[in-house]
Amino acid sequence: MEERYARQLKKGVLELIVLQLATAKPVYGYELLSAIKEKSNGMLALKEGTLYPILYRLEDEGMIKARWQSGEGRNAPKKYYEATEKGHLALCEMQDTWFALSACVESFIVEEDKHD
Amino acid sequence: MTEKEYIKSILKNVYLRRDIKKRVAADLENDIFSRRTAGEDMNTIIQDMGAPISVAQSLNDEMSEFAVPKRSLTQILVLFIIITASAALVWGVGTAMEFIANIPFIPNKAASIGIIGGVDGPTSVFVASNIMPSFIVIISTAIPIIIGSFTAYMLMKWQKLGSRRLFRNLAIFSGILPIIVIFQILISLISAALSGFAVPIDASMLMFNIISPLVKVILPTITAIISLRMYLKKRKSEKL
Repeated sequence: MEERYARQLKKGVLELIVLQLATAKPVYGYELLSAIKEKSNGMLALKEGTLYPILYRLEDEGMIKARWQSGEGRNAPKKYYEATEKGHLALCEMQDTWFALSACVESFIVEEDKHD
Repeated sequence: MTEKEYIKSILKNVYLRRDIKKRVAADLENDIFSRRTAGEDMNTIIQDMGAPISVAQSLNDEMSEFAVPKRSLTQILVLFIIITASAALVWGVGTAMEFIANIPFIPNKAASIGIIGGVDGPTSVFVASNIMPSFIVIISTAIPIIIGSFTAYMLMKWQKLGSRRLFRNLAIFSGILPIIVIFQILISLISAALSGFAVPIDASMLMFNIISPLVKVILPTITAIISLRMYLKKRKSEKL
């Protein structure tokens, strides 16, 4: 039960987190995975099978775009994802939604605790 | 397991649209390369990313909107039965008509000479049967079966995921043949009527000219009707 609940909750916020990271600077897949894992202390650790669908969804909606760029010390170009203008705007809306939602949920929890 | 083998075995178990698979392949290659540059070896990478089947499974689950149905054995079997049955029907009717008419031509040739026979009688029957090359007859028999089988296969493959446009095109594509055949039959009837149904050979020719094309276009007609229905259904649901 707990695991399923956590998984459902994470699913919704991952899109926001991925977009947030892609807005800061162009990132590639593995970089995203490690950044999310590190920053969340492993709580939001995700695998390629979960990350790619999020990236494709964001890309199809025009919020991020993929770009091949030659990396340092390698000849083959690397695929970078970066946020578009639409992505920047969408991120602001997503953040607003997140703050509103978390405040709302928190108010429920705090109120219930007071009654106890 | 090498990098290529790992990616290949993931993609083998991914049942998603081809363009999505290409994206996945590019990203996997990219990320495995990044991991290797970061100092990970292939075993660590596989351990961390997961077994090919579980990676594929999660991709399939997360992107079910891009899913392409797996071709089942039943579908292939049904297709095979349809092709065999239509071939048998065409052949069977041809043979039966040959028997009834007792014409010393092969039935396919008889089909090609019917109209002229109806108008002018035995002389032109002889001429036409010599002029019409038999490969054209074979093609004219094969095309409806091929088109029918192809559209039936497409219908099975895209039943759930097909777009409105796909069904419209499929309906037009498979609908052309039945329309041509209706004209063919009408011409046969008119030419027979003009000749006054005089010679007994004309009657059997007429029967052959009506039944044989009908049998040949059974499949395209069925698929045309189904595609048209799917198209109308999609249009209705999109309007709502």
